Amino acid sequence: MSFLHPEFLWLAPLVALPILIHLLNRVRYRRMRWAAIEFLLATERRAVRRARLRQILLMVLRTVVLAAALGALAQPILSGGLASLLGGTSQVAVLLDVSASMSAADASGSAFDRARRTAAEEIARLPRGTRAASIAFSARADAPFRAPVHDHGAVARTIESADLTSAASDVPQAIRAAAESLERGGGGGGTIWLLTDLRAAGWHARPGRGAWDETRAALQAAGHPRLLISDCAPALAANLSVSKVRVSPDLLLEGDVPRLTATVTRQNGDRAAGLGGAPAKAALYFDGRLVDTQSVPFGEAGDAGPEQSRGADVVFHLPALGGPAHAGWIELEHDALPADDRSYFVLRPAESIPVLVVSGQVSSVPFESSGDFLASALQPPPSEAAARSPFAVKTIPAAQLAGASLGGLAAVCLADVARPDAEAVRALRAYVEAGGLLIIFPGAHTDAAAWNAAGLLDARFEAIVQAEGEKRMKVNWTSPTSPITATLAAEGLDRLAISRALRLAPAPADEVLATMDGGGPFLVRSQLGKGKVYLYAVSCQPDFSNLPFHPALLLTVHRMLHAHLVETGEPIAMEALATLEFPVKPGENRVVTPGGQVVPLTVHEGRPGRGFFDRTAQAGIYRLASGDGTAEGAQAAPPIAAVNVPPEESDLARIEPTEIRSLLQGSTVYFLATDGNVSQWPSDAPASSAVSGFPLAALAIAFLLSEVILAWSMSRPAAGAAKPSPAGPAPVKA
Amino acid sequence: MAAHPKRTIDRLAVERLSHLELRARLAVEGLFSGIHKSPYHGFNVEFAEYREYSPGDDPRYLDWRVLARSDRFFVKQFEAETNLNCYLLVDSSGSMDFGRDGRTRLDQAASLAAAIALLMLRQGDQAGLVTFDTAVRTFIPPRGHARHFSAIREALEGVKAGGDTRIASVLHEIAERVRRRSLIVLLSDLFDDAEEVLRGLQHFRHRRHEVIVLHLLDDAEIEFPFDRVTLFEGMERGEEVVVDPRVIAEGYRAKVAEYLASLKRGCAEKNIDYQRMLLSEPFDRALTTYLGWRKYRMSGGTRR
Repeated sequence: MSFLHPEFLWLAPLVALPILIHLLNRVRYRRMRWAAIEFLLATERRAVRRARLRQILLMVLRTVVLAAALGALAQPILSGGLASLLGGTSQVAVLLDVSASMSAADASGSAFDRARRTAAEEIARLPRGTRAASIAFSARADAPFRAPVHDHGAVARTIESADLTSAASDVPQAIRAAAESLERGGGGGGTIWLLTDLRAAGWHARPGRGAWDETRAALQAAGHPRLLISDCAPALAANLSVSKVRVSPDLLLEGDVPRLTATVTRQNGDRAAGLGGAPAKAALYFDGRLVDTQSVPFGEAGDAGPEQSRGADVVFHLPALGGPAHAGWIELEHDALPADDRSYFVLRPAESIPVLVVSGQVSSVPFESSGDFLASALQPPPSEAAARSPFAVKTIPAAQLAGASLGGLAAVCLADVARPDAEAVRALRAYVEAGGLLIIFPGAHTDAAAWNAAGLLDARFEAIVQAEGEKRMKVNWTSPTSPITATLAAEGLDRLAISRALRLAPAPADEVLATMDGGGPFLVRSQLGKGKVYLYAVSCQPDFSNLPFHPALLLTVHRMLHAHLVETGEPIAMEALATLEFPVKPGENRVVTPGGQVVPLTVHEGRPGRGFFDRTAQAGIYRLASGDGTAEGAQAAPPIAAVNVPPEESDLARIEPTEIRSLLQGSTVYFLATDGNVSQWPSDAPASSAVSGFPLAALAIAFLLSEVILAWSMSRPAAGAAKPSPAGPAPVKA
Repeated sequence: MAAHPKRTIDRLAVERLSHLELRARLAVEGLFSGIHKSPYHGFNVEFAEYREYSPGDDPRYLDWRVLARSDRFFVKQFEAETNLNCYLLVDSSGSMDFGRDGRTRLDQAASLAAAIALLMLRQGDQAGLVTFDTAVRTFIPPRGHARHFSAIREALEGVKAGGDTRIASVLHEIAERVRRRSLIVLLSDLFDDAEEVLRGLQHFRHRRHEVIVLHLLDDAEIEFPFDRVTLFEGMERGEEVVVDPRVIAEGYRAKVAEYLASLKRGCAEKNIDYQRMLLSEPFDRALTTYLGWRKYRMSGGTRR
């Protein structure tokens, strides 16, 4: 038998108190030697028997009352304890945690297997009148039943067919989904049975209290169902996980020999005395082959307490990259939580970085077109370049801007474009808002009024101002932490010979990255949709300044491009349940999942050439298939994304019952521990909840105390007779 | 049972009672000069003295030789007013150890027996003592000389209560041993089967003895004035019973009243003098009261 409050069982010896009182009273009775004993025995044998029987019955009644009081306090759960908790309710919503951490296993199996088996068994044992629904949840709650149903078999089948995911858990969302299910089922209470591993990260899925406010509101709307929380987690001694993988350089080009740095974390479990010094190894698999194995340099084992972690970096050197994409993973030795022992990645080295330079003024004379200097700086002729430029630069006149295809460009640079026409502005705006990078250099022909009227920028162009003579103006790189301008001042790149500049009036949301002597902005950055616009105050020709010949030009443009591409580029890995977005070619319409399933992808009408896929519950490499997506070609299909278990799923920290109580304030919560005991956390439950055992216990204790006092007073010898008649002879001692 | 300190009979109180009379209501037999009528006639009666003839004397006892010699009428004085044999039967069973204020029922019985013995001797009668529980423990035959009281007193002072009660069988045994018509005074609590006790007493009556029953009881044994749960322990066999007096008092009193009524009725039917004496009353007053009523009754008065 289980008890909700087994601690009260320590008071069980009190049940013997009435018996002791009964026996003590016999010892403490007033004793009297009596000559006429036969009259007593014969007179009322029945009364004597009745009195004895009454005493025995009183003793038994007191014992039963006390035992019942203790029982009311301890609240035993009869055999089939879960069934008695579940069966007494009108509807049950079963929440099955399918997050990655539920893969943790011990000798008796994984937490998920345990949870799934228990849930299916108990659902099958529900009384016919109890309706049930099941919800498998991780970061999303998957509710196949809109409301609880009478078909327990169907519910059990959905539970049995549930699969683990690689995603993190979002417990408040799951409980809210369960409450909404019960509300659709008619509300009025019911039970939400949560089978989970009590990892704290899942309960803190959304920072701030907003998520739990919504959940509590949903519970109230459902009529304050009681919550039964089953802890299915095995005790883990420690856990190794790959918490982070970084590639350097972060902007890969074909031919690069990147370096991969994996951060491996070892975390103490519930019972570990300290982080052991056992060595750990990390293996690198790249394009399907084992490439390298290294020891993880954790260092000396310390005396770390529970749930403390230690991390160490392992650096792998990859071979030179070619091709469009490469996939691989870092793998650790499997431990009790295998879900986080692999970290996948996909590397997409670019052949080159396409940049479009739009010259406002075109000339056949070399370097007379307004974009020539910039184009030459970005992609110098091979004869002049010490190394291959990563940029593939195309130069067009401004008149062709409106008809140019801007999709796929890393950046569009405008050089002294006098007046952008409406089509060009529309094209530029669409390009930047979709994530493009626009770099604008004004010039002598820039029509400030036209630019201001074009509506492309929030910043305003003002007049071109002339410097006094050939004065060199200092440029103040005002954002020292910006990757664009960092180190320029230290490198002495803050002196430019500026003869004239376009006075700019930045918008309030714009960021001024540099100013000139006199305070006017030199370089302004604006956010436009997903893209950015950088606006210089000088042209990229020698007519405004010596910027075309200054290292600052190439450095700043390079950094703009690099930062933007890193920011907007596809990461080497994503978390489970993230929506993948990737370029697709005609005919590429299927995704091969890590499990080998071939699933259609989604292409939005407004985003041709981009594919979307959100069925990313499993960690691994997702590939893009074409044609009929046959199995034979699946593994050879190019990788499009790597999906990993979120790092919070590796955190062994468990939430405390007191915190759960605080989060679920207002609900009655039962907790089923792994040893089978069911305990209730008292909460501020509304009056409709079950009657507390405390009033009954208090009544029983008061009754017992009164009996004790009465028995004690009756056993004391009479201190003189209150009756006028003789009280009788004093007992004669033998 | 713990040893009792030796009883001391209050001689002064006993002495104070010795002037009282205890006369046999019925004809008794005796040899010595007492105050009781002798049923005997004939030669075996011992000549005591002459006295002058008074009208009304039985002429059969005129001494004719004295008449012939003196021409005077004299009658022979025989033991016509003879002594009374009194057996004092003192119950010394365990229940006689019950008492109040340090004085037991046996103390009361012993005092009464001593007083009766002394007054019997003072009035020229003989007194004897029998103590018993389940059997006769002491048997002192009746004697009339003054020294006999000492023997009786010593025996009474030394008797200890103990053992079970078997009054009826003892009464039968004693009845068989007492040959001459005697006065039997039974001092007991009579906590035995009423019918058996009456049969035992009837045995005495069958042998023409006169019987007086002094039924010694404590007030509490009749009134049962208890109000708290008490463990009562039997004084002879040690039975224990826990009783809530509030539950059984009424029934107990009814049983006791019924028992007392049956004893009284049975004694009356057998012409046995029955007197209840409570331990709350000093023995001398109780005896004085009883003897006064007895004399009054014998003179023709009726007890109201």
